[in-house]
Parts: sequence; C-alpha cells; structure tokens
Amino acid sequence: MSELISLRPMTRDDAPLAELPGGDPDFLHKLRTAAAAAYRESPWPSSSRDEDWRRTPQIDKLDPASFAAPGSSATELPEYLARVLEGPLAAIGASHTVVTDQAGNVPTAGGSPRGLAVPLEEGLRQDPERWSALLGTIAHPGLRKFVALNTARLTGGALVRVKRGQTAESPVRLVHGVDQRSAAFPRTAVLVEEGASLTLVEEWVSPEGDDSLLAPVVEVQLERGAHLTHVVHQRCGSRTVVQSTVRVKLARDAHYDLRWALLGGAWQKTYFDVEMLGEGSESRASGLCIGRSQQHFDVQTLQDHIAGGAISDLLYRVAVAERSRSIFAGLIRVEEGAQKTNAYVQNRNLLLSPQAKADSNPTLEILANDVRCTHGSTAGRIDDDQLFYCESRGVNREQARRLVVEGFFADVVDAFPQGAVREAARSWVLEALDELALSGALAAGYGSA
Amino acid sequence: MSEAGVSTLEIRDLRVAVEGKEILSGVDLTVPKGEVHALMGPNGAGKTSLGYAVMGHPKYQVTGGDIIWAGQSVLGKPPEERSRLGLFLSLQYPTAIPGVTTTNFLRAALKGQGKELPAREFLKLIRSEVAALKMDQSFMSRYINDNFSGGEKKRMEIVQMAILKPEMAILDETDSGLDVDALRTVADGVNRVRGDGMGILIITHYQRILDYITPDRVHVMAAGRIIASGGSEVVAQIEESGYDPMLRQAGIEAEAAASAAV
Repeated sequence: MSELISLRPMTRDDAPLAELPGGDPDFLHKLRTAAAAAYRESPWPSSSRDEDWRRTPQIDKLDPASFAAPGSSATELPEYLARVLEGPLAAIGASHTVVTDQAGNVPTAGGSPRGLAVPLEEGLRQDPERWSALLGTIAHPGLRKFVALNTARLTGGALVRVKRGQTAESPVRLVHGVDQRSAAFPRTAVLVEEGASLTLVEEWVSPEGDDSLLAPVVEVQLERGAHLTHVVHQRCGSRTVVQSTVRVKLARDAHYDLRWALLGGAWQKTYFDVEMLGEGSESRASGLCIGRSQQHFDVQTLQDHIAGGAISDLLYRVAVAERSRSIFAGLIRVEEGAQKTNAYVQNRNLLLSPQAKADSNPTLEILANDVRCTHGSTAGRIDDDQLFYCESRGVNREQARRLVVEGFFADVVDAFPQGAVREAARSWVLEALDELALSGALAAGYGSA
Repeated sequence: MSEAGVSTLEIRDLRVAVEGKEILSGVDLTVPKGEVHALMGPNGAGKTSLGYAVMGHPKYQVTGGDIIWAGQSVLGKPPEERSRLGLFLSLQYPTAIPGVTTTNFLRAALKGQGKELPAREFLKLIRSEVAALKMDQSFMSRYINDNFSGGEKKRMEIVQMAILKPEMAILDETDSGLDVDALRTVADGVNRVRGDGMGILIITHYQRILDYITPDRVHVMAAGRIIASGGSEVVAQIEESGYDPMLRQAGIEAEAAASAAV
C-alpha cells in the first residue's frame, strides 16, 4: 500500500509518504500519514499572509517537489561528505558519528550501529517502543509545514539516547548532507535521561553546485537534571535552501546549552524552540551568523516558559556583508503561573555594507506577574573610532575591520565547548572573514559601513 | 636622508574643520626628533584636534596648510601609513575594542608595521613592557581598553608606545586621571623612550606631568592657533597667572578661546 503511494509524484501541495529503505514500522507509517494530511491541509506559507514569513518572500517560490527523487543511498561516501568528516570537527574525538543524505543513512567506516547514537532505522528496529513514544511528539507534524514535510518524507536520521545517570565522555557527531538537485529530510531524536549528560555536534552541509533543499528536524527530550550541549554548524553550498526546526523539552533542573553557527546556504529559515517544562530548568543559547553575497538568514527562536523558576538566555550575533540579509524574531513567552521566570533574549547585528540589512524583532509575551524578562537588539556598522584606533597603531583598514569583526564574535565563539569544538568555531569565523576579505567586503572605508 | 627637516614634525599654517566648522585656524608648530615639547592651553583650544589631524582621523578635515613629517607631507595618507612612518598618538580617551585581546591587538599592530616578532620574543616583549608600567599580566588577555579604568587605559597607551617604538609621539592628556604614583610610572615610561631620541609632544592642561618630564619647549594654544611659545618659564607663567594675560595679549577674549573648538 505504501509503495503505491510513494509512486505518486510529489507536488508542492501534496507530500506522498516516503519509506525507510528497509520499510517503515507501523507507528512511523501512521505518523507519516498524519503528517501528510497535516501537510495537505495547511496552505503553503506566504510572505504576504504569514507573519512568520513576512520578510522571507523566497518561500513564495520554493517548491520542494522541484528536487529529484532521493534514489538509493550511495554505497560509497560522497566526496563532499568525506571532506566534512575530515574537517576541523574530526578533532573532537566523537564516540559515534551518524551521517545522512537525501537517500537516508550513509554507512561510515568504523561507525558502530549500537550504543548511544544509531542510524534512525537501526534504532527503530532495536527499541521501537521507546522511540515511537518520542518521535513526532516534540516536533509534531502540526507544528509547521516543514516539520510535516520532514515527517512524511524522512528516510534517515539519528536516534541518540544517554541512559540515566550516564555522562557521555566523548561527543556524538551527526552530519546531515544533501547533494545537488536533491532534497533531504533528516530526522534526529535525542533522549537524555535523568541526570545524564551529552555533547552533540551537528553539521548541516551540501556541496557547492546546483540547487538543493535541506530540511532537518531535531527533537530533544531532556529528563530531570539532564544536560545537553548542542552544537549546530550550517555550512551548506551557496545554492542550498535550509528549512529547519530544533525543538527541545526541558524537565525539572534540566540544562540545555545551544551553540549555533550559520554560515552557508542560499537562504534559510530556522526555528530554535525551547520549552521550559520543569522548574529549575535552564537554557542558554549563543549563536552566530556571517552572511555575504545575497545570502538570507531568517532565524526564529522561542523561549517558552511553561513552568516557573526557570532560566533562559539567548544571544545571537550576526554580521551581514555585501547584499546579505538577516531576519531575527525571538519570542520569550511566559505562560500563566510561570512565576520567577528569568529570561533574556538579545540580537546584535553588524552591518558590513550599506546594502546589507538586518531586521531584529525580539518580543516578550508575559502572562505571569513576578518575572524578570528583558530583550535587546542593536544594528550598526563598525565603529569609526575603533577603526581609527587600530589604524593609528599601524593596522591597515582591512585588517582593522577583520579584527573588530572577529572581536564582535568573541563571546559567542568562547561559549562553544572548550577544546576542539571551540577551535573549530574560531576557524569557521576566520574562514568566513577570509572569504569576505577576498571579495573585498572588508575593504570599505569610514562612514561607508 | 640627512638634510634638515628629516625626523622633524612640522605643522605649517594648519587649518582643520570638523563637519564644516573650523577648529584649527592656522597652527604653526615644529617638533624635532629628540626633543620634548609641551602643548598647553585652555579647554577647547584645539589641542586634541591637532593630535587627531596629525594622525589622520577622517573626521578632522584639513582645509589648509600642511603636516610634514621627516621631510614629506602626510596629508592624504591613511592613519596606518602615518603610524608606519613613525608617528604615534596616545589618545585622551583610548578606544575599547570588545573581543580583541591586548595581545592580539598588539600582534596585529606590530605586524601592520612590519615589525612582527617570533611568538616567544613577542610575548616576552609585551610581558616586560606591561610589567614596566606596573600593570598586571592579566591585561594581556583582557580585551583592549574594555572595562579598563582611566588610568589603566593611559598606561596601556604607554605600553603600546614602548612596544611600537615610534619616532614622534603625541601624548594627549596622558596625565589626566592619573594619581601621583601612576603619573610617575607613566613619566618614567616616557623618559625611557625619550632617551632613544624620540620626539614627543605632550598635550596637557596642567604643569603636573612637566614636573617629571622636562620639556625643551612649551607652546600655548588658544582659539585654534599657537599664541605663545617659549622655554619652561612659560609653564611657570601659566602656573602663576593662568592663561588670561596671554589670551589678552593675543587679542582673544577668554570665552572665544574655547568657542572655536569642539
């Protein structure tokens, strides 16, 4: 039955169900069916009708059906993925590495199919009950159009579980790629049980070349006192569209540290949601984005305080060069009764050219009366006095701008986990600055942004 | 390059405007290398503007005259080139650059000047200069001038001067905001480099720093020009009766003395 359905061609209004390479377990088939229905029933997002999409008109022309059918998984690791695997994050010493592309999970040398991180299909086979209780419940199909699409179309991903009280000493590494002219819908579910802790490092990548769509969904359950450090690095090729949702549920005293770096792609709409469901839970997010050319980054964050006495803090630093654009909407919602909430959201934008733009809209929605919530946003060009100060000491204009921009990101880079991950984050920033310097985007003078 | 004028800072009939408003109205001043000159004057006389103009801050537009260093005009040259040519300006209010450590800043500065050192020597050098200015070594890893006290910023300027070894330095109110001990430390720092034959122009309000660094010449500025020059007797004169007699002699009303400048 499902085979018949998957033969139907996909259109923008209809997402036929995909299937895992070895077939879907029953619960997944049901989940997909519900997701396909949710997808069909919700209209395509519109920049004129939907507040969420108001500043990203690219959505109006996007058609997920325009990408090639997934085909079968490569037996050999594609070159671009091999390069990523050998990149700066190779030094983190991951205990487990899970890789996906448009066809599903990609086998990697030495990858253990057992243990705390396994390919999605493998994990569902090993422990169907546990994962059926989690998958699609945090990022449920009705949440967003692209979550529904991911659910209907996913063919691979990762399931990550740290057992009660355990501390994973080495990080887990996930690489989600998509090849040219393809669309990939990787799905990740993470369960960190009571008192357990983990560092999870994700890379979203694609080769340089033709158009592609990467639409990952990550859902995370942090049980009581659990601790997750989550790193997301997006370094796609310049013609890739990224549509992502990361959604995290925090139980009592759980602790979530999110670090993100958005550097590649053509345009991107990304949601980071945290649900503070337990008292004493804590979420701390620091993100960075460096845009150039005509890149467009639309980031929407939610700090949802359902329980009282929780802390959430978010800092997002953006530098936009050339004709690139950043959109940020950060909502702190404090639900009724969530007293003693402590929440902060701030977005700092550095405009490196007069044509670059940054829209920033942090908002508070507070239904409790005993809370401390603040938001802030700034947008400005490099300070002339800082430039003059550097130059008056012999640093040329381009180097001066580089130095100031690098400094602008320093606190976010320093928030990445110490060691190899932080060094990698530093190298991403430096690399992006090298590229900007090469295209002359750092050479502009005083008063000219 | 041995003719007269080499290694001399010559400011000739300099006129400078900020946003269209003239703030220097024909400044003539010559500081040869190896000499220490003091530039005094009431608030708003244009002393700080002169420093910025010499260093090439884009906000200070030269509308007339010339600035000649070591025989060639520096007008039109960007600040970094003036720095490489051996000019240095210690700022009255040094700029903080969050996220850029003192060490990284100094490394970039030395590199920009083509004076890059091997990592070990470089660290040794800044360690010893930081210590010479009686600053804690932790300043090396702190963001430059960020959350430094006024006095710490001034000392850091002198640390930089000692490391960059310019041939001609303008110290803009490096003494203000310093307590006596800090003042002495900074003065020692200046006297150390002075021994190397550097030229120095000390901009100050008070004679205080001149008790520790004896100037070869003293100039008084008001209303955007030099109204008096002389030896250290000028300092004593100002000490005794303030600027008013000099201003009257120059035909400048006390209020007008300050009105021209920002």
